[in-house]
Amino acid sequence: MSDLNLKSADATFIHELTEQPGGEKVRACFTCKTCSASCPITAVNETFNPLRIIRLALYGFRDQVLGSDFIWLCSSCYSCQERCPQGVCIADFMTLLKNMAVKAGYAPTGIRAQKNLVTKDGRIYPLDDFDNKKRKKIGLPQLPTTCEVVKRLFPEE
Amino acid sequence: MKYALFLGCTIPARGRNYELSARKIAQPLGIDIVDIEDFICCGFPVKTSDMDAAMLLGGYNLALAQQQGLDMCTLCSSCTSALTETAHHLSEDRTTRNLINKRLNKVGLQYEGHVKVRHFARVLFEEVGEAEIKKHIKRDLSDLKIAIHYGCHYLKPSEIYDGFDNAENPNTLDTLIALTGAEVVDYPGKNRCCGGPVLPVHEKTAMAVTKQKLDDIKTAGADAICLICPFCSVMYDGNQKSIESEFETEYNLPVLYLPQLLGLAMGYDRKELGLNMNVVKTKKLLAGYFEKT
Amino acid sequence: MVDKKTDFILIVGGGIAGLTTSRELNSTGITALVIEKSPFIGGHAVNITCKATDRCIKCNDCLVEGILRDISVNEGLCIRTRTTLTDVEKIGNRFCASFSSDPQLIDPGKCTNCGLCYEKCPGVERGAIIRAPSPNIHPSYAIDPFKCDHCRDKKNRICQAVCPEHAIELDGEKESWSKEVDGIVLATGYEPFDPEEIARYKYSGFSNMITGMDLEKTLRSEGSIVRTSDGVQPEKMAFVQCVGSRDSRLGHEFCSRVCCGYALRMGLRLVYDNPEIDITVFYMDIQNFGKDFDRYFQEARDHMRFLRGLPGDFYQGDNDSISVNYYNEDSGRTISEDFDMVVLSVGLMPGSSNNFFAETLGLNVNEDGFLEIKEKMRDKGIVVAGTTEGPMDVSESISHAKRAAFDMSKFLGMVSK
Ligand SMILES: Cc1cc2nc3c(=O)[nH]c(=O)nc-3n(C[C@H](O)[C@H](O)[C@H](O)COP(=O)(O)OP(=O)(O)OC[C@H]3O[C@@H](n4cnc5c(N)ncnc54)[C@H](O)[C@@H]3O)c2cc1C
Repeated sequence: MSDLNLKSADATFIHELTEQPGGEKVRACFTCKTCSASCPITAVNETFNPLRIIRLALYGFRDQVLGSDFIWLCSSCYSCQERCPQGVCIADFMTLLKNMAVKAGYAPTGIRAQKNLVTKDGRIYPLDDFDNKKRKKIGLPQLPTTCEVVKRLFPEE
Repeated sequence: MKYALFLGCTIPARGRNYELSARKIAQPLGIDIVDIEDFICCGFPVKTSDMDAAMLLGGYNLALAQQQGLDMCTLCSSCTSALTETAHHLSEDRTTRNLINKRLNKVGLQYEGHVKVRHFARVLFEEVGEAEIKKHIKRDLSDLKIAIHYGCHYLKPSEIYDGFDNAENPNTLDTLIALTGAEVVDYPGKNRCCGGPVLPVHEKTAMAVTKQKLDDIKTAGADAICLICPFCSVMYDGNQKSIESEFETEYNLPVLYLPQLLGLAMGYDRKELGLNMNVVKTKKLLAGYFEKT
Repeated sequence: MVDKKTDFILIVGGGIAGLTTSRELNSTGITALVIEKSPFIGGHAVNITCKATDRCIKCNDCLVEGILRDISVNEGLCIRTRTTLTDVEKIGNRFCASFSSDPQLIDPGKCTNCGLCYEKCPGVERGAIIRAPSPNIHPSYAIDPFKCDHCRDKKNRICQAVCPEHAIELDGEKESWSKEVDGIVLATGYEPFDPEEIARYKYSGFSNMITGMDLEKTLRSEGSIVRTSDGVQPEKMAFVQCVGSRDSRLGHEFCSRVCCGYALRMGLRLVYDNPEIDITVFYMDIQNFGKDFDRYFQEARDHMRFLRGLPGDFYQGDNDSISVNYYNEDSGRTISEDFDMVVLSVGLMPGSSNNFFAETLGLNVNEDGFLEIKEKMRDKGIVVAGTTEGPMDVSESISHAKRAAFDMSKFLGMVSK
């Protein structure tokens, strides 16, 4: 990431971003660093830095942002978003970037697996008869072990 | 107070102790719980990859609750925020609602946009109320020093929670826990994230976030952690051992769900509250209470 | 009470702007009445400290004292403290203004500021008699009837008995009165931002966290600053800029214009007083306002550490210090650093009376909450002076007030024609 070249920047990127939910106000950022200072992830892993991601996006480094490992480190805790004096919805912006990255084919396997599970089984931890047995034993109601409706909700998956 | 109980994915699989204790205390406190078998994932886990899919999942669950004429009560904070956010979007933004409804129609549903989503703790605080809970307290827990972990999505993004509690300086759980007589221990970073959402992406980072909080809680002298989200519990309770070995340290901090702690004060037994299912053992911590009764 | 048949102007607010307007109007022969809600004139500016090091660094504090001195020797000025405007009605070309006044208790005509009342009062600790923040305010003492027990029980009235001039009369009553005036100057000023509004600063949670206004007051009255927790001089201090300003979440997108200036001037003064002190300034960007600002900024940079970026969390550190978490660009890491004291550079917020004026006088409050006077209102005899209109430092407030006086006399000339 050290060799950023403005020649590789894509000016259309920022337009795309500001037109989508989460990106509307990102241009208002005035680099006060409240986001980075408040971020619990930055505190333990310096490769994640919300301010830097915002700046890279504003400069138009599309591939460097969407193809990065670091955007996935955002924990969506909203610390930044709650504090941004410019009202940038930073956590929502990170979600937007991740969504765009998935569309561009960049998602880490764990993220893809979660979506596959949900659209196939209706839950991230599918239940089986053994689970129901355990539930029964302690007096909890039984739950369905299969889910048909997701196939109709997500026919394309 | 009648609610459709929304369990989500994590609780039936990894948080039966939470579910059990919540159901146990709901009844005497006057929260009437209805189970809707067809509920599916709230949408939170797919938000990162596909917002539209998340909204559709949320809309589906909201429509099911609406069909029964019920508001939703959630136990998981991530479910709470995902469903609340979707509910907000769908009631405010007609275009999105029409789009989602087009897809819901295919499964015979339609969402009109009036279902309220309430975390169990919020129902306790706002609707049951301190005075009513107090009437049910039978055990005094003043020997316990509790560190509260609010977690993120119970309070944030604050704009979807219509002024309920204060994201920077929350007090609803403090108030509820104080009813048990337990001492609430303050510690730096009380509002910080558990790190959970990063677990599937970068385990080491997630664990480091959790560790920092465990360190702070231990230093503050707490006996146990109290929380209200199964995902946070995975980090503090489920992963405490791995964090201890990864970072060569020792915490031995039991992690209790709020209804377990309240249930304890309400006089319930260890098994009735699923305390035997907590990963970090609570036996020693709570021995005194069970001997007394 | 003056009641000449000539033009008569009401000035609401006895801060630097209101006083300047009254002095200016008076010099052109126009009579003005200043009403001030607090017991003393001078407004917020009387709390600011002189920030001179081995030389003057142009903080404007002496401008304030200059005006107060002028006022105290100017016989023609009419000032009524502890008074608020309760209503205004338009009657033809004039206004009928209604007021409510709390009793003065000390007669300014008789008081010689000897201070005996203050010396002998058993209730000074709880604020029964307060002393003005500047010796140039007359009378220099004020009695708070709500904190003085003897106003009520009518016994043991020590101050009344010891006053050699018989200037004290504790039996005054609240009074409602009204007066017809030709024009109104709104000079009710601003409110310093209350940092409690930003929960993450935990202002009330730290004994050693103060506001810029607290620091101004303390340096002014004590000459130096010590920590509230232990009375020890701080060795390591931090200023946090833009507290309450430029924050769209709070609905304050404006810059307060004075905070960079006061923070780095107070910093320079603290460094001058104690060269060992270690000062850090957390800022977004330094706003270049005021005379010779660049020079002072350069000088400040030689003596203090300027860190670009606002802190995130504040935690209790060891020994009552405050642990400040901030992002450090050079290292790319979040740093947690302890400071003996933290000063929050609070900004200038719209005054609390603005909405009342907007309603009663049909004025506009702009999107930041300050009063906006359109040409049209000026032609009806209503003008604003000073920070009622927006953030300004003392010297800007003075110029603005002179302009207001000019507009008002122009208006009077116009109607008399
Ligand atoms: C922390 C801090 C430090 C500062 N330091 C400096 C500095 O070093 N140098 C500098 O040049 N400037 C400084 N300033 C700015 C300075 O305080 C202002 O420029 C100045 O006080 C403006 O004067 P004013 O008369 O417009 O308003 P104010 O000072 O606010 O005066 C308004 C007056 O009106 C009265 N009033 C309000 N409402 C009513 C009502 N309804 N009825 C009757 N009376 C009313 C108030 O009691 C007050 O006396 C500082 C400001 C702050 C917050």
